[in-house]
Amino acid sequence: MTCEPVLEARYLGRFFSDRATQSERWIIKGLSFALHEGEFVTLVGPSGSGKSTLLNLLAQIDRPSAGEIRLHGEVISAPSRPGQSAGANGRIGYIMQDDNLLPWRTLRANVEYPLQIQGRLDASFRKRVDELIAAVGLNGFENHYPHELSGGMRKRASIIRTLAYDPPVILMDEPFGALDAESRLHIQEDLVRLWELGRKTILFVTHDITEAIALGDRTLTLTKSPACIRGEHLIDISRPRSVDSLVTEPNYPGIFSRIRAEV
Amino acid sequence: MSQSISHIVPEIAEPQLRRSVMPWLALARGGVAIGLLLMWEAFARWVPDLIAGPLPTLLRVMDLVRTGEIVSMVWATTLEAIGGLLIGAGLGVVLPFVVQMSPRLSAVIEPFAKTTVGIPKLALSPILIMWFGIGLTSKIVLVALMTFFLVFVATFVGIRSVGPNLIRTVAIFGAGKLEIAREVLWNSSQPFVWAALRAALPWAINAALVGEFLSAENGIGYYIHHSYNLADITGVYAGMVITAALVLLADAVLRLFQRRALAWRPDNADQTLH
Repeated sequence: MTCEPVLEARYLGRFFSDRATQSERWIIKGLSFALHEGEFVTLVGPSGSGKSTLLNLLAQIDRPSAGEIRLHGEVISAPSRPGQSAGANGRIGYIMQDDNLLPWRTLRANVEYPLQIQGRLDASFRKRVDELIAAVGLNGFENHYPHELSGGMRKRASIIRTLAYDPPVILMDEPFGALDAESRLHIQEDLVRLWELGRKTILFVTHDITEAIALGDRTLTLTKSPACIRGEHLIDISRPRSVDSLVTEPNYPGIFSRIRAEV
Repeated sequence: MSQSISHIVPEIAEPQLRRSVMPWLALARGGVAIGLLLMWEAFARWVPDLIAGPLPTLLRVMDLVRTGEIVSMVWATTLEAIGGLLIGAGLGVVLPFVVQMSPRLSAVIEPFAKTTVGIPKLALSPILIMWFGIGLTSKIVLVALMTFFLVFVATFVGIRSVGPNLIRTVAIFGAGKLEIAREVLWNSSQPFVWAALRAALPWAINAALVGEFLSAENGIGYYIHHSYNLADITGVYAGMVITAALVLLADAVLRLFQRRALAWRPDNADQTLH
């Protein structure tokens, strides 16, 4: 782990103007944290606590009202600076709650699309796409359109679409919220396996504490609105972890109740 | 835990049952057709001066086929309808993309667009004939006017219906404004565009006919109007039957193109009623 964080938020704030009361309503205020190289950090917060607002700021879709965001030490976002392009030129990936696949593109064409618009789709990346499709068990479905795939398959496709173009940081906003328990379990294990292969830096937002513990190296919790970081919990459960037998880990109940107490 | 992780690979959604070949449907439709023909025949016998019966109408159509007259009249009307549709629908598809590039321009134009939709375009036909003469051009302009607004509004709605998260996702991949318009807005609006094209098609043919009623040298509308002047009711009915057949045929062709263009959609999603 190098000392310089990959992604860092410093005293980040975002308010929206409340038209009725003519006042500023802060959704996020004074929020600071850092993600280090290769870390899988999970973020838990009560619903409506500004988790999505935070991810939109980090992904450069939205601009902060206060504070700054640094990527590899470089300030990429601050109220005084002109806005960066969304995703900071392909350096920050963002996997949302919906799969957001392009319905007119086949699975393969969807996974290749980011590479195609970034002008990087060459033989080696095509091979990488093949490997990723196989790694999540989607081989044989390359030429299917999204509507011909199940929810879990679409979710896998949307994850490998971002992994394929290899952004140094990946943000995930409750990506498995809409899945049934069974596919959720499998896809969580797929994600951890893919992460262990490539060691991306991941910030994974969820409201499910068990999921946060199962996936993360660290879990951050958020306060109620306006949101800032409330607590930080090291998940000292050795990897590889089995997501479905997580509850039998001796450390699990303690971590769970400490996080539970904060959200 | 071992590295071998079993995957659940769910089956693909079951293909939609095709309901085209159903014997009862064909029977029911045949029954309705016969009922309508009988009603037509009954009315024709009741007021023979105003309504031509099915049989004389059919004979007249066959007559027109035999003499070859039908070819030139259908050709003229088709040319006007297609020419007008190409211009009207072409502008109707392209302009919303130009307009959406600037939200300000969008806001300025919106009330005017709505107002012009309300203008009865057919009422303009005498003026158009004064401007563009009694030939093809005036009808093509009339058809273009009729169809432009239908397609423009549908495309506009199609562009607006695109989910913001789809646009954001693509922007995060590094897509600029132009790429988003080309990839996301264009493709997302296609179902709307095709539905509008199919709705616009009968209007295109009817507008061509109205133009021909007013003044023309050829076309189905000219034939209907000419027959009417000669108190030849059978000719009027033959013209109407030919028009209906032309609309059906043109719609079938358009549906073929629609199926191709929207092959990525589920089978049951491209049904259009009009």
